[in-house]
Amino acid sequence: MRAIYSAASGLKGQQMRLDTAAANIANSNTAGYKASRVEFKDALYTAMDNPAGGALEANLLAGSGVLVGASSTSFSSGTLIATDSLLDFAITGSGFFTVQGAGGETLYTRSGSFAVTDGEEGGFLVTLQGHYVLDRAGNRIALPGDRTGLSVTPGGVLGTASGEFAALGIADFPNPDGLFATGDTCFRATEVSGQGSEAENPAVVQGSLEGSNVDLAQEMTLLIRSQRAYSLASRAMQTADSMEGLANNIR
Amino acid sequence: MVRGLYTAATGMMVQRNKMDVLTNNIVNAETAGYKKDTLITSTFDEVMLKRIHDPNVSIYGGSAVGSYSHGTHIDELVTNFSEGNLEMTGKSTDLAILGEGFFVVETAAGERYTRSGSFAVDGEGYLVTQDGNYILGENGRIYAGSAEFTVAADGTVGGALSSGDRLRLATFEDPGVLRKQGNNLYYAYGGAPAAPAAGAVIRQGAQEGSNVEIAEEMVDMITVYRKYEASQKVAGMTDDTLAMAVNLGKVGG
Repeated sequence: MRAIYSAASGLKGQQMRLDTAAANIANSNTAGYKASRVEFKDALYTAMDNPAGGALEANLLAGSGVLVGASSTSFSSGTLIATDSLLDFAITGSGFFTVQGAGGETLYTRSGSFAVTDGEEGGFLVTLQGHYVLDRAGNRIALPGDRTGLSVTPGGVLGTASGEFAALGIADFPNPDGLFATGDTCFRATEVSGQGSEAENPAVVQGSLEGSNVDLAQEMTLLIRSQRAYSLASRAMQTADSMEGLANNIR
Repeated sequence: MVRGLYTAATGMMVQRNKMDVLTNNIVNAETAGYKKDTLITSTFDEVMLKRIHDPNVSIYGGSAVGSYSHGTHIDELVTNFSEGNLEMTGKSTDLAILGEGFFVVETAAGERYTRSGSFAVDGEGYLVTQDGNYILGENGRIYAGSAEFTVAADGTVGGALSSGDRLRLATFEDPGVLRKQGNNLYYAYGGAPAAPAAGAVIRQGAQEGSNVEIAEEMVDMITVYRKYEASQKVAGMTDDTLAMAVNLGKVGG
C-alpha cells in the first residue's frame, strides 16, 4: 500500500524542517548567521491502474509523498548590534569578508568579529576561530605595531592615525544563495553561487556586529506547523496500517 | 466463483487507491503551490442477468432477471486548481501568481508548468527552479543577473542587471489536460497548447501555500477506512456463507 510510504516521506520531510527551524533558533544570537529554510516538492506520480487507453490518458496517477526539494539560505541583512569594540566590523551593504580557512582555501563570512594574533610587530588580523582575514589581493593583513586610532572607511580600507595600511577584501557574488555553509559562520563559493568579485559599495562600519537574520516568530510558527504536519502524517500511516490489518483479517 | 466476493474486493481496492491519494494530499499540505487531488470512482458497466435452468423456458431466450454491476473501479484523478493562501516570505526570489496561470519551466523533457514559485538565481544569473530548470519568459530564459531583481505585477523582470524580459504565464482552457509529474511540475497531456494568461498578477516576496483542507482530508480518511471495513466484512461474510455450503455434505457432523 503506497499510503504507508507516502506518510513516511511526510514524517521525514517534517523532521528535516523541524531540525532546520531548531538550528535557526539556536543560532538566533550568532553574529553573521544566515537563516536557512527547507523547500518541499511532491514526489513521483505513478499509475494506479491500467485502463484501456493507458494510465496517463485517463489521469490515474497517484503521488508517492513529499520530498525535500532544497535547503535554501536567506541572505537578508541582520540588525546591527553596537559593541564599541574597535576590532568589530560589519558590512551594511552586500558583500562578505574574505578569510583563509584552516586548509588554505578562501572562505567568506558576514561576521566581522575580529582579533589580533600575537606577533613581533603587531600581529595579523584574524577571526575568532583563528582564520586569517585577507585583503583585496588575498594576503593576510598585518597590523602595524601602533594601533591607535584604528579606523575603517566605508569602502573597507583600514587605517590608523599614521595612515592607511590595508584594504579589507570584500567579495560579492551573483548568487549568494548558492554559497555553501562550512560552519563557524563561514561560506564557501560553489558553481551555483558564481565567482566572488570585488564588492562595489560594501559600506563597512566599525564598532558594530551584524546580528543573525533569524525571525524568531517565523521559526516558532514553523515549529508548530511541522509538529502538526508530523502528527497528521503519522495519523495517516496508522489508518493505512489498520486498513492493511483489515485485509489480513478477512478470514 | 461467487460474484459477491469479487465485488467486495473491488470495493476494497478502490478504497485503498483513495487512501493513497488522500495520504499524498495530507503529506503535501505544506508544499508550496501543491493542488489537492480527488479520486473519482464509478461502477463497472452493468451486465444483464438471464434466468437459466427454468423448465418453462428454453435455453435460448430465457427471461432477463435484471442488470447487475460487477463492482466499482477508479475512474479519474481530478486536480482541484483553486488558489492556496499567500504567505509573505520577503525573499526576492519567491514569486506567487494571484489568479489563473502557471509559470513555464524548461526541462530536458520539454515544457512543463508549475505554480510553485520558490525560485533561485543560478551561478550564471538565470532564474531557475530549485531543481535547476530554467524559467521561461517571452524571449526565452529569464536572466535576472543577481538576486537583486524586481518583478512587476505583470511579470516584467527589472533590476540593474536583468534583461527586462517578461515572465511567461500559461493557462489552459481545460485544466484537466494537466498531469502531475512530481517535483511540483505539471505536464500538458496530448500536447495541448498553452494560452497566455490574462488578468493574473505576480507578487514578489510571497509563496502560494497548498490548497489542501486538512479537516476535509481527515474526514475523508475516516470515511475511506469505514468503507474499506464494510467491504472487508462483506467479503468475510461471503466467505462464511461459502464455508457453510462447502461443509453441507460433511460426513460425521
